[in-house]
Parts: sequence; structure tokens; C-alpha cells
Amino acid sequence: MARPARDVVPRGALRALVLAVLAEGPLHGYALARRLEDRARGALKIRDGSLYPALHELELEGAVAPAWTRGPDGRRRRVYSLTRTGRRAAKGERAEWLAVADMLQALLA
Amino acid sequence: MREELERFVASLRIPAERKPIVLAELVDHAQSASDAGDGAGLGDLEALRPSLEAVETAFRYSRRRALARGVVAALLVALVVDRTTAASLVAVGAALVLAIVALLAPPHALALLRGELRAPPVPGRLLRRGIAIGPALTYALIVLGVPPVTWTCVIVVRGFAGDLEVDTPWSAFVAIVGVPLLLAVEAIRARRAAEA
Repeated sequence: MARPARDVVPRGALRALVLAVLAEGPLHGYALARRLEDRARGALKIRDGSLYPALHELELEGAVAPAWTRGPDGRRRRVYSLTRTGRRAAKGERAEWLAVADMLQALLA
Repeated sequence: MREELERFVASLRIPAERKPIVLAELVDHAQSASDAGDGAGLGDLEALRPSLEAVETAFRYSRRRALARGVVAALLVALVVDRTTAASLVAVGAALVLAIVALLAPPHALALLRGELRAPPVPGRLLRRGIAIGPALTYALIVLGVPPVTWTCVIVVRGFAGDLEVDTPWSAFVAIVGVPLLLAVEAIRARRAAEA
């Protein structure tokens, strides 16, 4: 039986997920949400709005850099890409969360 | 939908210059969802309010602005320290140093500092686990570092001009001790909070 999609991601984990997806290339918010769900193969349903505070927090820290582009109908669109700091943060957070996952797997399996 | 988003963003308690950015992003998101036939869209906007208001407020104090404030404060502190070396003026100098550092600090600097110290560690170039230096830490480090350098430069310049007498700048110790003490206390509290 397929597990229902979770819609709550721990705050720190959402940062790590955002950084991991942006490490593959620049994206705008909506595309980022869909890419995350695609990677989760149905196990995760992002509450879309929650991405923006996380993205802006990363922007404050200098981990992502926003750039304005135009969407299909000419509307303004903000695209985020990782900075050098962001690339380092992505590696660090990935390692930390994988270690946490391993630990939980060992403890709970 | 756009009108609803406009009303929502207008009601947010965030810096005015951030509102067009937030609105443009939410409108683009809602429109992209609509184009893709994705009914969920942004979900409950009110659920977004607390986290948006918390993070957007921090944009008011960019690192660049904190750096500028820090440099001004540090130069004023160096000037006060230089002018209050006489024993009778030490208390006045110390009070002035504290007042300058407090008055020129970014608003809500203490809350900002606590937030920065509690932020997740960031791997640095030299250290595996570093701290993301935000506006409050930028200000603190500038206020701590620039006055001694400025004062040393003043001593060197005066030395070349023939003035070889140097008075001990007792009032400077208020900042030299006070700022690291504050940073240490807040760092310990942040560490305890992380461990709890």
C-alpha cells in the first residue's frame, strides 16, 4: 500500500532539500516545488508557500542569489541559483541529514 | 487571485521595499500553478504569514548597512577613546562608547544576534562548521575590530610627527571587553538552546 504524501517537512530538512535541488541548476519557486515533489516520487507534498520563507532565509545568508527574469506571459519571475556559500552549505547539510537518516534507520529499524 | 494576493501582501508587517518582491513571487507562483492545472496553488495564505513576516523583517538590515553603521560607530568610538584618556574622563568616555555602540546598532540587534547564533552551521573555507555572519555579527565584529586599528594608526601617525607619548585608553576597554562578553554569553545560550 502506498504511503500517503507528507506535507510537513522539518525546517532544517526543507533547507537541505532546497539547496540540493538548486545545486542542479537555477529555478523559480514553483518549478522548485514541483522538482522537489518529482524527486520524492509522491512521498512528499510541499506546502508551496513554505518554500518562500526558506528561500528568503537562504538569500539572507548569501547561500542563494536571486535574479529577475520574465515568465511566459511577461510576468516578473524570480529565479534562484546557488552561490559559492550555498554550494558549500548544500554539501554540508546533505552530509548532516544523511547521517541523521542513517542514525534513525539504525535506531528505528 | 491577484487581488487576494495584493491584499494579503499589503497586510504583511514587512519592510515596504520587500512587498513588491513578495507579491511578484506569489503572483508568479499562483499563475504558474494555474497554467499547469495545479489546483493546490499556494494553499492557505494565512499559514504563510508568521514565517514570511519573520524572515522579511530581517532584510531591513542588510550586512552592507550593518557594515556602514559599524564603521561609523567604530570611528566615533576611536575618536572618543582618543579624547578621553585623562583619568578624570574615563567614566565619561566609557559611557560615550557604550552609547555610541548601542545607538548605532541595527534596530533589534540583540534579537538579530540571537537569531544568527542559533542559525544552522555553515561549512566554511577553513572550518568544517562555521557561523553564517549576518548583520548583527558584522556590526559586532566591526565595532570590536576597527577602533583598535584606527587608534593604532593614530598613534603611529603622531609618532612620526614627533609625539611619542601614548596614554592608556581605559575607556576603550568597555567595548573591548563588553562586545566579546555579549557574544560569548549569547553563543553559550545558543549552544544550550541547540542542545536542548
